[in-house]
Amino acid sequence: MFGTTSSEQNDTAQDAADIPLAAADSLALIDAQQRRVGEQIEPDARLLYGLWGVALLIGEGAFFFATWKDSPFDIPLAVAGVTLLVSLVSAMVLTSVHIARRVAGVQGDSSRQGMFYGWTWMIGFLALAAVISGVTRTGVDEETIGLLWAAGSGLVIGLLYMAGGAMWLDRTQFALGAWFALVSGAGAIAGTPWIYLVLSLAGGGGMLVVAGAIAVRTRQHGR
Amino acid sequence: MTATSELDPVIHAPARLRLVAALSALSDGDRLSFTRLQKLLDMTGGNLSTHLRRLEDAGYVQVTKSHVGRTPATHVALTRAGRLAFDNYTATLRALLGPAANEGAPESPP
Repeated sequence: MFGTTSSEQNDTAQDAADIPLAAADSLALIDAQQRRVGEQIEPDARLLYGLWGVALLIGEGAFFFATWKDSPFDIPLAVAGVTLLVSLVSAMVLTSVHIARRVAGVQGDSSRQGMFYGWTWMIGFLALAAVISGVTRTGVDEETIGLLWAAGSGLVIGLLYMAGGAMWLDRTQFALGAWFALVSGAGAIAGTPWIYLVLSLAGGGGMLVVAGAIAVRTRQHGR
Repeated sequence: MTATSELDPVIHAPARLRLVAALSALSDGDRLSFTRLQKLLDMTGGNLSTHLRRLEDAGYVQVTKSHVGRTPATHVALTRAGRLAFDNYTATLRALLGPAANEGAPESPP
């Protein structure tokens, strides 16, 4: 079937090693193997939340200090824009690489789910960009555009986390999504520059708190 | 003695037990590539093929061959019969350990 040349020798060698196990040892073996597979094919939530938490904390934080009139730092808007863009693109690339490595070799329903979910993020942000470019052509000012980007992306992130939580029955992800959607709405009402502070601290900071909480929980369960 | 003989001999060997346990950790409807499975089990290709054939003969695993571009790829999944046999196997083990051992033994280490 797989073109084995030495299957007979393997059989003999294997039989010698395959002495029946005691019940407790067998259960321990099953448990260890299942954990190993789970740990290696599932994306690491700590890493992903940590990555996006840092990206938002830095990127949105830079925007806050660039737009706050009492800002102690003199950050030009263009620098803040590049900082945010670089943070988000880096997080996106690292996320894609990490997930691709984890799910390599897994085929079937969950890889289709993952593919649809990945496209949902892409199309969601493309549509958001189209909406904002349409609004831009009506001649609104830069501040409004910035606010639309910040609140709009916060809303998309929030909704997709909630949807992810629903799809994978992941309470943490759902709660983080709800938090994100709500603080983005609140931030939009507070206006510029506060929305950037909200997205940086409540959004990015919230993700770092979740990443830390998962790390602690994982350590306690010895996994 | 009698209880041990109730354990499915197809699964009751360390290598195949680990193989079935690894496949049982996948979500329903998922398959795992031969090479990835090999890495997750630390087995040689020949060894893995031998055990897979035994499980395939028993109807416990399904081996699918396909092509990703020009590269041939083999994917493995537990069949319904395989999942059922594995569930029965673990249930028998728990029964063997008795009600007293059931509380602590199979749990994860602290």
